[in-house]
Amino acid sequence: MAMAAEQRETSSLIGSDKVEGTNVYRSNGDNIGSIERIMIDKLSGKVAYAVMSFGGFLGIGHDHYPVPWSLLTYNTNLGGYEVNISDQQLKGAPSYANDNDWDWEDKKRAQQVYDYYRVPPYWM
Amino acid sequence: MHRVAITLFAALLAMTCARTASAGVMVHIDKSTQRMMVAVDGRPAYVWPVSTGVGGFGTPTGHFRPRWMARSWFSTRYYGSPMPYSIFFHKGYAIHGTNYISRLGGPASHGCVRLHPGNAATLFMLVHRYGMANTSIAITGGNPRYRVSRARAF
Repeated sequence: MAMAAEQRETSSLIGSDKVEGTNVYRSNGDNIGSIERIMIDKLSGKVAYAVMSFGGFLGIGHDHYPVPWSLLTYNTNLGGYEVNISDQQLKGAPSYANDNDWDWEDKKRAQQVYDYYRVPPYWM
Repeated sequence: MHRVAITLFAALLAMTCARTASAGVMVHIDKSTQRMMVAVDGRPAYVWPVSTGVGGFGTPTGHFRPRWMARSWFSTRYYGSPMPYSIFFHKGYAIHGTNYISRLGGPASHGCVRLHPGNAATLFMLVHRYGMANTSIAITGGNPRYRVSRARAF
């Protein structure tokens, strides 16, 4: 029982508690932030977004970035998620200041996030 | 002892206030002059012409902070109109770049605060760098009392 509960990862599954707090890197090894939480589509059970957080200026005011889950690849060498987002793309990405500032229910908004990253949306 | 504590508290309070007053990005939009003034770390940095809401489309007045932002955004309300470098500060109201450059300096929008795309990009990058939590937005004044354009604003 206890062993099963502690196994947080298999070859095809990963525990949410193992994802949260994991660093996110670019292919070149730059650490660009960490995963704050994952947002799960209640109906399908699919992971809709990983919310990444990046340090604000002087370490205060962290902003949050909803990123399509499909963009993230686990890299064992880096010990974290690898994502191919250029600095330019990241700077312009949709981001929000506080949790209650983002309307997760707004489908048009969700569409624009997926359009921005040019990946097929999770609901398709 | 009590006096020392009060002095210390006062000093701390003064430091905190000084910090919040100057650190970060302060955006002031004056609807009566249709100008935006931007101060960075307490120092005046930019003055830009804007377009705020025309006629019945009022731009809200008050103190706000950025809630969410996106470089590439399309209005979900007005026919997918492009809103480059959007900084949303209150419901669907945003500061963003516009193609209607000739209208800048006069009210023309549906309530958003329009900027020249180049200036909108500059502001966007500033807010990104300092963080939304370190940015304040103040909107004051009433619309100027001059020609009311009959042209439909988009």
